[in-house]
Amino acid sequence: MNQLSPHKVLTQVSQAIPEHCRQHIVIIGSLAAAHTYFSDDPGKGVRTKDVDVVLSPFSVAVESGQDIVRELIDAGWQRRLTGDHQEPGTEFTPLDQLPAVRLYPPDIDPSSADAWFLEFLTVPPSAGDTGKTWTRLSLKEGYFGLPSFRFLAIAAHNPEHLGMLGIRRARPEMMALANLLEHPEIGSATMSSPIGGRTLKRANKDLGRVLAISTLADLDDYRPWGDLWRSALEATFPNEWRSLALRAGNGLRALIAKDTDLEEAHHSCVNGLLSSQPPTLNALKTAGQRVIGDAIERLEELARN
Amino acid sequence: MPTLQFEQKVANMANYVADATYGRWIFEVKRRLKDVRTLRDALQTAALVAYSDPACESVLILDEPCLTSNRIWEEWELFTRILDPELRKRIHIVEEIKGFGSSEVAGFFSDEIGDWRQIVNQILRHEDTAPPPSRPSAWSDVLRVLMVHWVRKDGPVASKQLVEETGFSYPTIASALDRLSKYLLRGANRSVGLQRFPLDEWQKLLVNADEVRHTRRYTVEGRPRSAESMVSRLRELNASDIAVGGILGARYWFPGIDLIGTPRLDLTVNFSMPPDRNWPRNSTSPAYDFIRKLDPALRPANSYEPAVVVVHSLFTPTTFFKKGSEGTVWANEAECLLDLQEARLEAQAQEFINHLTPPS
Repeated sequence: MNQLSPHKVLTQVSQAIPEHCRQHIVIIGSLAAAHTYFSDDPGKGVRTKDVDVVLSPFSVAVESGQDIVRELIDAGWQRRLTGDHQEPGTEFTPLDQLPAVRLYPPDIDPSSADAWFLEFLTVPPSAGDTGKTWTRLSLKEGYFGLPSFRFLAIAAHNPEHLGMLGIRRARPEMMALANLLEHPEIGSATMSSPIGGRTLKRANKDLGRVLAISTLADLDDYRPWGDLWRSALEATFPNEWRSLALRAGNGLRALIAKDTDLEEAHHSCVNGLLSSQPPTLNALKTAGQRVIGDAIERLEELARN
Repeated sequence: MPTLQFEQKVANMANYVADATYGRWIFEVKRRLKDVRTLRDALQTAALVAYSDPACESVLILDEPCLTSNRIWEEWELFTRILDPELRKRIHIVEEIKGFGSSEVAGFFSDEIGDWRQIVNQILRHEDTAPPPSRPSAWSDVLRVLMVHWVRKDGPVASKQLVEETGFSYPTIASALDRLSKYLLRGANRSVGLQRFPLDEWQKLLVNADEVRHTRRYTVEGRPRSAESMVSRLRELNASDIAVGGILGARYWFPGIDLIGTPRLDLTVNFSMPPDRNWPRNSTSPAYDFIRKLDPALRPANSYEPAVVVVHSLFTPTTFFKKGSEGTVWANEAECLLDLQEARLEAQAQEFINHLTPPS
């Protein structure tokens, strides 16, 4: 897998999307984090295949999604045909059997090692939704699905506007919080695709992202993250923000405590977001200890008071 | 439900007493393990315990080891080459760093034992009933108090004042003063002060400074936080009994000192005062709670690692600390001088002495 230039990819995405829809998308994931920390450095890239695009707010997700995907397909973007549900569904196809919208740029050979694709998601319709939900997206080719995860609303909370590009980019600390909330423990579920030749636990990969973001942020003080996290949680989950805050750190604490899990997280980082500047395992652990001691304990303190 | 029992003999292990047992789990605690040879001995004992009873699980708790986790892991990997795989499965190593909790280095616990961290904590708390750190000799405290008075040009101080400031009795102080007699200036009413820099005695103090001051060193993997940012966090704690010394302290007392950068942060903690935070008074491991607040990634350093934070203990009732206008509490001049010398900043230490000492 080659390294992608975050600036080049986001510029291409922005230019391909209809201008009136740009304000409705938020780029999340490793590319968003990489764009935050080293978009100005042409020597640094990120190893990723998928560029996650969240349609937000939910009220415009379907309408904007239709406009964007239509324009992209008409411009030659190619559908990624892998997985169980490849063919577009009908209006009667169960939601969880609809294909997701994944598109390769027109100038990329999908079989090449450096192929990347856009994957469209949406924020959940309400705070009460738990787990993975799907929203039907109708196109002339048939019906597709926009997946949504409970904590995507946190990842896409208060995103940064990227000036001339017109699109928005998730704040790294919010993506970190979303990953923390998603994994209050190290579950046994594994990634569907190998990373760096190894099949990793999903929790280790996602919590490794928290460590990668912390490493790139390289702050002397992570406590302000705790305050920002509290605001995001309270705004998104007003009725249960305290309980979510109090469990947010459990998974990362477990990861730091177990060397085998931490090693998987490290493998994920050096084969992804931190591939340009791979840290040692101990340096990654340091980043985790600082996030726990500063940001998570600050959040827990706020939740208890 | 098994119960935790302390100091238990182990069947088939003549003369061996485990630090604790919990059902079939047998615990051995090693504190501040300093070298590989001791680690190998401990691993061998853990293996013998596991071998003595095929039903038992042998747990070695390394409480604040001076070796790094990686070094311990490497030794464990080496050691396991001669172990039967079945035996290996029943040996567990836990590393405990105060303020940071426990982590498994090898041989992960099964659910059967339940909350193993809590069990490890109970065992270590039991071990914490060890005697508190003893005060250093009166001589070193009296010397440092006299040094502070001297550089502050206070003139000779009455014996009664020395009793109050050092916390020692008259006879103890008199004995200490005998040792310092050639440097002393005696005044009226049994008052006493230094008349010149007590070079010989100071060198002796310096040689034993680590022990006298219960010095502890901390390091961090990766990029350390700046000393200034840690001092800023220390100020937030509003702790009157933790003072900044070392390079920053010397710079406070002598702004013109020729020092660039701050490679480490020296702190002096006063243990004669009731602590205003929740840290273990009777522990030989002082003040971990505040260390973690400076940087959660700090851990005890071994002798080969450069220290990022160095903590010294002070036991005199009067500390001569000074609170600066910006809220930082500064260690006294004598502690700062020792810090510079201990950090091998010889030229700066001499410059500091020259600046502080009154012209004779």
